[in-house]
Amino acid sequence: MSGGVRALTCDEVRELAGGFVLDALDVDEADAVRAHLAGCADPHAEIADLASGLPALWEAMPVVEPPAALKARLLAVAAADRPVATGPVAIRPAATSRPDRIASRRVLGWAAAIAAILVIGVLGAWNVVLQGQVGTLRTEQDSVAAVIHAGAIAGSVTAMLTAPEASGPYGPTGLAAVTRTGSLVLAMRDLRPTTGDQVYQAWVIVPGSAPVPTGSFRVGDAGVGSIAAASAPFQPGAVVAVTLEAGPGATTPTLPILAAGTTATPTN
Amino acid sequence: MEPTALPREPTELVSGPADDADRAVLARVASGDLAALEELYDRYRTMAYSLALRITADPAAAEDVVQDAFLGVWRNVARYAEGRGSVRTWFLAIVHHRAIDAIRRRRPVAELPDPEAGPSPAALRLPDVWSEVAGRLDAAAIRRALASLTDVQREALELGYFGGLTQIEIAERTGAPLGTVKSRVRLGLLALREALSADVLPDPAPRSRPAGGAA
Repeated sequence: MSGGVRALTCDEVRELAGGFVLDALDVDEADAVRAHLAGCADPHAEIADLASGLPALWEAMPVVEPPAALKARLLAVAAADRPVATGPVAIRPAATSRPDRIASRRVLGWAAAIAAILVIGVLGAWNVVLQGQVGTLRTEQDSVAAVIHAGAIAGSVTAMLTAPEASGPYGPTGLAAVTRTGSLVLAMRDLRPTTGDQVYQAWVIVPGSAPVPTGSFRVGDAGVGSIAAASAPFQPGAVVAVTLEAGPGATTPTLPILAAGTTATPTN
Repeated sequence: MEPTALPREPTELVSGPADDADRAVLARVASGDLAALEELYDRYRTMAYSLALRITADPAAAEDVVQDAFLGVWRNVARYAEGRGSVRTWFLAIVHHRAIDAIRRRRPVAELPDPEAGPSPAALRLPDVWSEVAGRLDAAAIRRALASLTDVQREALELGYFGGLTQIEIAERTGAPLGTVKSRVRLGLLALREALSADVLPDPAPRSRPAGGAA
């Protein structure tokens, strides 16, 4: 087979329609059908026609619920990877392109593999305060996985947050990733539980500019907390920092900084 | 004998208010509304996961497939083509593509599942009924639709749709000529469509209604 996509006639597409609907064409054939559909004036109604039989196959599957954690993980990753607003849904061929699928799979496969080997024993109760467009992360594993996902997105920067040396070897630590589109995903541990209205506040500090508050969260007895927030400034070299504030809505950080790290492009 | 009815309507049988709601949710997803993605997830998570698990037979792989599919929607929602079917069909096609990709990556092409044993025709059976999204199809309709397939059609659909085999691989596996496999796939899908249309559509076009509603 040559590298290019073979041009098909409408009759050839009709002949391949059943296999196309069933996903039972080889890759070259399927690409050729997609390419034809994208540019053909004929709506090729036979494809929707044949696809109308698929619901019977769906009903013939054992019904299995996905694990509850999948939703939190999906939303965390999505929050860290917000699409560019495209306005109304455009009418375009439905097939997803292979490069996108491969790229996305590579990121997810890698991140999922890492997440799977992370053994994190503390899954105590903790809370997430939603602020702005903030995703909900339900377990520490989810939040660490979300940081890894976000950090794996092309162009993202990551930071390891540590406590200032003055606080000794057992201060809070964390992982953060900031995507090019300005999503901050942060997972923290070893924080003291918040009380009353107290919140931990994340800040992104671009050198020479005022700290930007980027999400806050409460912490329970487990000492872990996490956020996935939008509208963080994106700049390699910016510092991600965490402070304890008397309540939500702080516009300037209350010292001391409990943990901080400088963002950089991950290397491999 | 395989049925020869060839309905030509471009419309999808299962569409209606639920699909309008889906399109509204998709429009919100397109604007980056995370809550809309959550809504879409809540609607389709069970179907998506069940389909992915049915194909991959691997819970971890099925989770990856489902997450990947929803993220694909999140990132590329503009690729939804209104003219080409319902949101449900589109989305489950994405799930299906990715699940098939996953199992094809996992096994060498030469290593097809169960090389000797044919698929059990009983594998396509009625285990349960979807509660919400697919709930318009009642159990009897599905049972009749599946019963309307010939054994060889059922085998071709099973191997292709759930087994991830290409039509060429199905031909090699079953010993049937490729043209025959293509015909079984096409006529099998049309038989399902036909059987569903007799039950689902309140006013089906009075063209080729199967007598008695069953094969």
